[in-house]
Amino acid sequence: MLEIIDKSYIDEFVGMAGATPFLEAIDLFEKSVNGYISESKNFFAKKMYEESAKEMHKIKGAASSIGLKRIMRDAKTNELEVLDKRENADIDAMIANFKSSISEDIIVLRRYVLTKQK
Amino acid sequence: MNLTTLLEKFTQSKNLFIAEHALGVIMALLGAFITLIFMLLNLLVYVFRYAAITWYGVTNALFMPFICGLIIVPIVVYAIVYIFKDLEVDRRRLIELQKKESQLKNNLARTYIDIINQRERNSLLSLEHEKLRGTLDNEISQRMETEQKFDDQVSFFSAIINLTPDIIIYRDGHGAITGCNNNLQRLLGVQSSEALEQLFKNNAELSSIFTKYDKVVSDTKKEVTYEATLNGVVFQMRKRPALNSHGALIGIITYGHDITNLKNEQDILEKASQEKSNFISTLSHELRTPLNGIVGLSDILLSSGHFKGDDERYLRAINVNAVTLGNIFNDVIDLNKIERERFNIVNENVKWQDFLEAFETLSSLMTTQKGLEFKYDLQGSSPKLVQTDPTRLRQVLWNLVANAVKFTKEGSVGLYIKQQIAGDKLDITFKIVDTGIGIAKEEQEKIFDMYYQVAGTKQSTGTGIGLHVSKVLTQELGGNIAVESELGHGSTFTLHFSFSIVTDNVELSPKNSKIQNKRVLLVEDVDLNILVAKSMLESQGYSVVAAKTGHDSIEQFKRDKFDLVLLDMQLPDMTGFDIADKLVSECDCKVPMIALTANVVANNQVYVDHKIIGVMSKPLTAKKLAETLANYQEQ
Repeated sequence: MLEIIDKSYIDEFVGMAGATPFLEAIDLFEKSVNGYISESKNFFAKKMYEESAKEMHKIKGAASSIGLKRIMRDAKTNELEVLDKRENADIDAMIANFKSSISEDIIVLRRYVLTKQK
Repeated sequence: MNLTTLLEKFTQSKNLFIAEHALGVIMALLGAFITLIFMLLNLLVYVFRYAAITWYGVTNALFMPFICGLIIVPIVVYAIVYIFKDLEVDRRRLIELQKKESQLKNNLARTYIDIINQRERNSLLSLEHEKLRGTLDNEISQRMETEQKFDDQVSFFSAIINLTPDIIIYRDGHGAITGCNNNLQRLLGVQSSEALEQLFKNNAELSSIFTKYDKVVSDTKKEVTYEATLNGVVFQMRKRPALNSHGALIGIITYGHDITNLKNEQDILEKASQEKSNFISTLSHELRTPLNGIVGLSDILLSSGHFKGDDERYLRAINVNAVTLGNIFNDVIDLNKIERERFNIVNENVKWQDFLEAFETLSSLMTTQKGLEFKYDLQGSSPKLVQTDPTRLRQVLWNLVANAVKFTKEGSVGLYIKQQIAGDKLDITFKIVDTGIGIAKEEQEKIFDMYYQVAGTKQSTGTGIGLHVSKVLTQELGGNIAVESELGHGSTFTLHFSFSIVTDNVELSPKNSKIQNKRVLLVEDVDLNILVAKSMLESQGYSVVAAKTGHDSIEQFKRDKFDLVLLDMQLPDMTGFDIADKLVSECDCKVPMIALTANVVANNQVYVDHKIIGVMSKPLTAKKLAETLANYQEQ
């Protein structure tokens, strides 16, 4: 029933490895995700659509690693959009939405992980 | 002045002696004068009668009246004075008497006046007396009338008291029975208050039903209500102090209302309500199962990316609504739990410092996110481990902080913790202070009630069970909760707990001892994924070596011995399949290789073709890994 984050996965992970590495992972995601996004945008500008989609795919994998379910879905959507529509894809709007979702969801995720910490 | 007036003057002289003598002198002079006149007259007569005048003749003519005068005048004077004297004495006596009489008359008149006055006064007094008498009579009759009315009232009241199906007993300040109604006598089978008194003396249990809370009532002078069963009849007893006009306690009235039927109905209703809420709860459970299907499948459809534009929007709406519906069902189930007071408190050993830090971070996040200032203060040192139910405790604290944030537009939310270790107990007080809208005094008692919501505020969008649940949970956790607030000046919620401190070194999360010293080669280019997978695997007892490229992974595999290879399918220099092929062909890899993908796995066969034993969708979990390995071993 979870929309934004994958609580069962997070619970399992935090239960086994503790919250600290998970929080580190969130920090890392926050730091690296903008790099992937700008890479994707650069490739798109150079009409290297496959490469651009690959960056989105990386975000999808990374988001899944920390239980960001909605970001994972959005990254997937973006990936397919780039591959399908190619130059017709509205990458600017897509990325603007994506970024705002990411910042929102990271807050939700952090909050959730902190409550799990004990 | 003529002679008479002179006479009068003399005679009226007060001195009788002077008057007497004065009269005598006057009379003597008068006699002498008259004598003289007679002498002259005699001389004249002699002259005219007798031509020859002789000395003898003249002397004789004069001598004769003179002698007569000399004899008569003193006699006459004496006689007159004598008579005068008598007369005068009488006259004077008469005057005296007249004076006395008039004096007496005056006195008499005065006495009469006095008598008349007195009489008048008497009549006034008697009038007054009459009046008083009338008033007194009136008063007496009025009093009699009042007494009659009072008697009538008493009769009415006792009739009413005896008519009611309820029971009434009244006792004086010392507890002695002053009266009771017929119904109570009938119920207890006695004929009089005296017999009742006797019955109470012999039956302490029965007596206690009526004497219960006496002290409370006499101390507080307030009404007390309780329930009691008498001969199978359930009464709602109301005990009230009887106070005189000065507010002093003169007795206690106990009034019992027969609520047997009400009770029975209430039981039936409660049972019905219980059944209904069980039904709703069961229904919610039942509905949640297919709903989970809707949520799960719509999730999958959304992640598949096959739906675009409007279709995707509709699908997302389906998903969101299904999730919302699921939350409502959860609330309903929770509600049923509350109604049945079924809270499972599961105590665990909690790393206390971590718990408090996490709570602080969370509160800070929630507060600053709304643009409010966050204040924090922790006093006292934290023990290592504390025994409590962290989930429930967190639920309570979180709810209070969320409320504080919700009802505060500007200012700050403060979290003040004071803790003290006392023996094997941790006494802790949490204060959650906000500068929000506050709660009016009269509302403060109600805020912990079920379904209570602040009236007329935009913020009140909750279900109204949050604070009720918080209170119930706080009590279940052995604590108490209190609120201090002033309307418009913020609120302070205070929680107090006493937790047991755990002293022995208990292992918090036992690791899976079966997997020890297994080495994993993790082929993954995204740092984050490496970090996460590594943490997870290491927590399970694996040791992990990461390779970021296909080339690197082959090098690593050649250098080291591994028990397992985890392969991301998309590396910068080659795909996961390429790496698998190379590892088999170049390194004669015999260890199980498992693929990791962020995509939905559609066809397993393609992996099998590359000697990959299993495929896991990201994120990697211990469960998925164990399942995949188990499947492999079965084969």
